[in-house]
Amino acid sequence: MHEISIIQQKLACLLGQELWDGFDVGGIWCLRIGAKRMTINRKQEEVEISRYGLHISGEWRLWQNQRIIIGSGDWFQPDPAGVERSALYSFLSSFWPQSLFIRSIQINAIGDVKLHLSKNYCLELLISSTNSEYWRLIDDDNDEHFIVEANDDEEEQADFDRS
Amino acid sequence: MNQLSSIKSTLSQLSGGALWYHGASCDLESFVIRVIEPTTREIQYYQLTINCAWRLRQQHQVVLSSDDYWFEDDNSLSFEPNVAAFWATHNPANLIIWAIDVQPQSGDLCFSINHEYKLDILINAAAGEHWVLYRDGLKICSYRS
Repeated sequence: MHEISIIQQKLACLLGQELWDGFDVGGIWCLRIGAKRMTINRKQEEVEISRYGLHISGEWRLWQNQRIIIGSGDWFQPDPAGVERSALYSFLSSFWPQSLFIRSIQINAIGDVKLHLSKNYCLELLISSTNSEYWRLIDDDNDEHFIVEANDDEEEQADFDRS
Repeated sequence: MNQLSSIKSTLSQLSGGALWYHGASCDLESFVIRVIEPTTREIQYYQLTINCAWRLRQQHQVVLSSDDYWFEDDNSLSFEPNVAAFWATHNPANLIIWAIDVQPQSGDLCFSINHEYKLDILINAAAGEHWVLYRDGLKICSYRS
């Protein structure tokens, strides 16, 4: 995994930014953060995207007022209302749209990240794998993908950034 | 006594026990902890069945995790090569648990084990039964939110 100080540096760009959308793509939770912008997608449709994307493949949990309100394990929990495919889908369908601002960022020596958000929310990204990607931060301005994974190294990342 | 205090009290029985075995139990993962009662020398086996994320780390480096295992269609448990490599080089009898912490807000557990290992049980869902502890096949403790 990257040095903790490098992860801290890369995440610093998110401070003060607005987290305004989140959706699931094949089990990856994709968050839209920062300035909104319009772009044309592969289907030639005009769509709204964000300056930053945070794509979370690993374990995560969202807290509010120091209580876990949803987590990656809720993919497998039934929807209490029996409508959506799981408790997590049920949550996502009602959580957005709203604006949450990233107030501060903490990272511990293991690499677990806490994004402290407005409205007393806290998003926690947990390191819980020895072989796969945990999360990636995408900057739409330069198409940089900063990938945090178990077996990454700086050289591989540099190659990816150059390609 | 609230749920977490009760859990802490029950889990203290595992202190001094060995992290004896890890494997599948039906479609869930379990750790078996072998405890020798100090006065009678009686051996007790506890089974901690986990329905959430976990990781075994040495200091800050994760060496095994719930992501290293997966269930095949026939419910057999498969695992990454690092799992076999870890257990081939570690005698379970030497992985002795010397402290167990319960995080009051998350309900996470942290087992401190000799050789600077820590087993973190990480609650990753808002609802459900996250883990269960059995002794002699009887459920003695669980964490549900």
